[in-house]
Amino acid sequence: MEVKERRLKKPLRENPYLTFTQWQFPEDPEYRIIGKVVPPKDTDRITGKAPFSRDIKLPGMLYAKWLTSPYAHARVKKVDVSDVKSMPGVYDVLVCGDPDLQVEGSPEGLGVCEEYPWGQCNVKRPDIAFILPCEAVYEGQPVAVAVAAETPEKVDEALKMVKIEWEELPFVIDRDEALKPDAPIAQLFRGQDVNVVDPVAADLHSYVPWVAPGSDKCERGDVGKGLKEADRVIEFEIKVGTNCWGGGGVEPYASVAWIHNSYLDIWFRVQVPWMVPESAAGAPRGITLPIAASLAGVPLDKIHVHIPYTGAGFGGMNWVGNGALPTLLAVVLSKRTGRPVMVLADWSSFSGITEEEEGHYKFKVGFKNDGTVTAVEIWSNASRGHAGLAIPGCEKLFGITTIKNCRCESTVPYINKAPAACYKHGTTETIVLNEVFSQVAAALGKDPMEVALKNDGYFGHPMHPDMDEVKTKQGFPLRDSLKEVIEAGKKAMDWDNKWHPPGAKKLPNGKYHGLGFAWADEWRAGPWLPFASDNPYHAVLYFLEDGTATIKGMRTLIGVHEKTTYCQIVAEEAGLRYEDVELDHEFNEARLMFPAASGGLTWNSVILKELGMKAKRKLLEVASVHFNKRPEELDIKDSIIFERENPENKVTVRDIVSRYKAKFAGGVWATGETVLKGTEMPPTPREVHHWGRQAAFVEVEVDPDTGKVDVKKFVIVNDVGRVINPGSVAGQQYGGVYMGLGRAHTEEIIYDPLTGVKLNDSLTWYHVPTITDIPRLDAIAVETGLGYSAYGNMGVGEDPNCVARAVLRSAVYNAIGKWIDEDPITPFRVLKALGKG
Amino acid sequence: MNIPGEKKTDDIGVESKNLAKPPQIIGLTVNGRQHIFKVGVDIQPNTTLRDLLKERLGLYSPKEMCQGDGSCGSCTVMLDGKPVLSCLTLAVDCDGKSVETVEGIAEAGHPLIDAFRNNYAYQCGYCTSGFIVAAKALLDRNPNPTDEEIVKALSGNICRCGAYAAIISAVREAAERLKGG
Amino acid sequence: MRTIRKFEFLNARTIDEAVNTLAAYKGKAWPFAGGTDILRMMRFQPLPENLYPEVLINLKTISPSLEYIKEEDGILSIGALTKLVDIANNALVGERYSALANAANKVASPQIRNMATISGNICQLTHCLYFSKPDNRFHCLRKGGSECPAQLGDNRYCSIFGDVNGCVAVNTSDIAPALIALNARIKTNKRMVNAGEFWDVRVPGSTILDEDEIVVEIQVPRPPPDAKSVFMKFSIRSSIDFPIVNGAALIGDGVARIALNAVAPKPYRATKAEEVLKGKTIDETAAEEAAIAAVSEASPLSFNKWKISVAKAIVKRMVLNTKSR
Repeated sequence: MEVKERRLKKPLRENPYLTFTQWQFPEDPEYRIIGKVVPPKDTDRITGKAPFSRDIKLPGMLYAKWLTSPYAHARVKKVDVSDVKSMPGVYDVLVCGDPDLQVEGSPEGLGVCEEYPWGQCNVKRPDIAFILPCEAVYEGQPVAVAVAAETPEKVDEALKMVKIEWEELPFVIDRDEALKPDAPIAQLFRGQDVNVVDPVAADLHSYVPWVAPGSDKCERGDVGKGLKEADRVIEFEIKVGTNCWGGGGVEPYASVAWIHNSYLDIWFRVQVPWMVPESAAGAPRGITLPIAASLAGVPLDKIHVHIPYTGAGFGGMNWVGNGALPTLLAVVLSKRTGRPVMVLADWSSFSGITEEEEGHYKFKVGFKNDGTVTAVEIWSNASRGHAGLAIPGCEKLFGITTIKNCRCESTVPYINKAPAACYKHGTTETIVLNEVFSQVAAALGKDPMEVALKNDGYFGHPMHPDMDEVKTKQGFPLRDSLKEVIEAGKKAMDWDNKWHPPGAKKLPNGKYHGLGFAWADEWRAGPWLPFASDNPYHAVLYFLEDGTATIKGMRTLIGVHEKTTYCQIVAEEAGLRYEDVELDHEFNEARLMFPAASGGLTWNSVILKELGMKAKRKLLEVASVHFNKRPEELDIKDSIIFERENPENKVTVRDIVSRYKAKFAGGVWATGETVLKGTEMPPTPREVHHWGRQAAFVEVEVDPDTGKVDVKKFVIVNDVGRVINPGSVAGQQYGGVYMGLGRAHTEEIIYDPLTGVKLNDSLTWYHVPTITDIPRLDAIAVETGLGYSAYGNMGVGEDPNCVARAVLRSAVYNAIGKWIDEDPITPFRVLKALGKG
Repeated sequence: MNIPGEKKTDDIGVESKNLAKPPQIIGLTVNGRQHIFKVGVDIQPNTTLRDLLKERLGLYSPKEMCQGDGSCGSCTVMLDGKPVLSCLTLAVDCDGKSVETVEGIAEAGHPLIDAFRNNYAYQCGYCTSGFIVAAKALLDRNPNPTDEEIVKALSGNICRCGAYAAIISAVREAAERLKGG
Repeated sequence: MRTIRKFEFLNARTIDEAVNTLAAYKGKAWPFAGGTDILRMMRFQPLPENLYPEVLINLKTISPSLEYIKEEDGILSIGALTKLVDIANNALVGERYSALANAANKVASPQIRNMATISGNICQLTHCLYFSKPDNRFHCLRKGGSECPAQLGDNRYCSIFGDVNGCVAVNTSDIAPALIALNARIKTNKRMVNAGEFWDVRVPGSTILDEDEIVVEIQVPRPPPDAKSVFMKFSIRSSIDFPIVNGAALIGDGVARIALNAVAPKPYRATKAEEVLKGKTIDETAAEEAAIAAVSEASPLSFNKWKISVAKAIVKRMVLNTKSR
């Protein structure tokens, strides 16, 4: 379809390191506040006043830490803490096996012990797990002993005095090795005699609906038939590594718990503070509070949650293995000591978690000479280390292509590495998706964008005409997202002039020039969404006497300008001035639709729009008495209520609110009555559609002598449906590309093959890119309105990271003419591919 | 304010008069206010400047992203006008020195604060204090920096959210404002 | 964040006080300058209990100050406590001793260059990922242990020129190769040492210094007028990073001195490469020959063959860079 008259907008100041461009469309309604650059709300983050979890101080507060395992797999044989208990300043010493550390039963939908990636199950009593286990299954795992004392220094001294006798156990950190018949058993406590994760127990089906129940296979169509139809068949394999500085982000974990009277107060570093009951089994998320309640012996409603500022959150924080452990231990220690206790998890940045699944993927791909892929078969051994669940990595291949015949078989091994979790999730799926099309394009010598467009679809259906019908029926514009993002990005990269065959362009500086393209869909939150559960959600707006309004609704502040965007939406819809609206994010009595994770704004904009509209109705109803007019005859703009016919007849919101105080008591509540557009989509009714696309274009220079990949220019194009806040979108695009590039070619966790010990768990040797390592970025936001949310908007947080990590692979191939079969693409691996390493 | 002491060295049986002595009192200025600490009482030899600022003075803007490894810049403060890592600076080593943190920079109404806001130059804010201090130190000694100079001055700070480009914009804007632009 | 382990802190007012105190504590006192290396070590505690200092002797209180840069009679003298930032920004050093200025400018990060001193940089502990792992996780040869875990482990960043006393960790000083290439001397309270003879591999130390010996001054003879010095560093990041390979060269006016670091347990003088260049005009071929000669004695470990290619490239590029004036 033709795109007419699009308007180019550059809402942010020019910068040689980042250009942000918006492709807007004239048919879009003009908003007063939405889509505008407004001053961000939470300026405490700039002035040093924002308290993060470790900055909390309560009277009489104790500090606590735990020991971590020096071994990849070991069991505690004997613990001697006699010297520790008598040390001055030490208040409590907890040793593994203590009944106080035990979590029993399945409160509030909690599963059996299989579901605790952090715990240790008693094989004979699978319904019991321990917060601090006696068997460690990865190096760095919290284990054996925790100490609470007056100061962190006294805790450190006390932990040094603990004497432990270990029994070292055989370990395995390599996925391929773990699946061999004589492999050491990675996790003895599970009572299994193989390292394979049981697909039924892991319940992959509930996480990835198109995996058959009780199976680990994704299958569609007939692969054998598809391969026969193909003009050509190619086979290849890649190893995707875990390389992430995980643990949720940059701020080391800390949690404070305080049991007083009959209440439990918690301050924690968290991403999903409250329970989402229908969570994917094997990946328990957001269930911290029910466990905390049972440990403290208080009802769930008597937990008072405080959420300090959060030093970023890219995922993984929701998982019990990381986010919950400090909190649960703090609860136990507070109960035992009668004091508020802060647990400091010094290990958390590197030892708590790694990033997503690592895996060895083998591909068989059949395709026509025109680039149409007829069949894909993938075998993988993706693993999430210690955690049971691993996503097969084929979700995007299934979800956003026309490929009729595909099968993805995944054997998931347990290995002796930290549990892995989502971390700007989707990199593996994006690598798998792009590997198929990049290899096909390379084999055919075709432009990779032509191949992408040929295969772009939705669960095996082509975009045209199948999806056009659905779009029309559901009131979406007839737009082709992939076509539009490609068009914008290609131009920004000057692709046609720069493109060349693989290995064909050596520059005067001796380096190889390479171009890369990758694509994917917009990240969509999965089936654990509030819509799929019975989780109640609401938002409240309280009008204050000074005429301002406060949105109340709990969520975490992970740093996506959440306060700013939420206030923009409510102010827009209610007719208030942006500066008159604030967000109170710690209000325990109302929980926003999605706490702070993938698609946070996408989901929450639905309820916030509803809240703004209700607030406006309320204001107009009350004002109608004042004006002696019907509400329909009135309107609000910039916090002033006026008569439509006679705008000079006006009164401020402040006057109305202060004059009719009683009418506003209790606030205006929104309870999520709005239904999302397009949620009733075949063939996966629990899913929303994902028609939005993104594309990444990169230009690199590869030094054939040092193996270094210099990224010269990067163009990222995201269909965000609609921009709510340009500053926030540009920040997510830049941040995603930056993280993706780091994960693609500088960041890597190195394990000692002989002991399974992490060797570079420090920011000195784990190379997160600095400001000097990042290329110029052209960020382009395309607004198609194809999103499922209130303004046709969709998420952008995860996306650029995923394509950035994937796109470097094809660029390096284009530069040196060789595929790097292992990721990340560090100089070490580039030189290996060139026969020099 | 260095008062030579005469302790400990007797234990090793050496005449103490030609030996190094422990400091007893440390005086330093923090954000323009003077403070005195007794070594062994208020602070210990292994107390870092970061601990002192946070635990004794309630200034918690210096953070601990790398957990004291010296590789993230989130604990950066200015010591006698130069950005240093407060997690690897000993409090006992700061006698007679002047410290500036982002709290002081904000209190003084420095244009960097508004510029960071205007340019969305922060996301989660955990690294932000360190960046602002490093930028302030740059603008103090070089009010008219080039982009390359800005990048170099900020190259010791890590931001995981990825606000680098916006931070460069913010520092440029602050420089313009300081020039009266 | 972990607490830094306990120690006694003493301020020295003179060099005599400092070395007398060091002698009095018989190896249990360490000199303390910028502190960036020692305090990290005292926090993460990679060493066994018996090897930590109990006393840190602050040299920054010494009077007259050891923080200075001056040039007299064709010798550049840099006080041992001169901060790296001041060397990097010194116009005189930048003009005549550019390899040294550039090396100082490439150390770690701006914050660390504001704190760290030249003597601290050259005395930093030679380390590998195994050595540095906290809590003495790997009790290696350099900690009094009986084996080197890196020899059989992941040694991708380790020595390509074999071991010294069984250790295959590399010296990561950026300043070291510059001093060797510039033919510098290191003055201690006891003696004057040529830069090439300053480093060693000990338990756990990395220099030839005695327990009661401190660096007092660095002396660099002014290079011949037509010689040019360069420094190059290859690291994964452009900032906040140790080198994978770095190097410095002084070439021209009949002189050819080339040193590499981070390729061996001690800084490595590429004498073979120097010989190749003797009497030659610097061009592409000469540079390539020198580069090949520089790594001719390399013998990689299981994971680090790639570093040979990097080292070779560094030598070649340094040699060619000395040509363009």
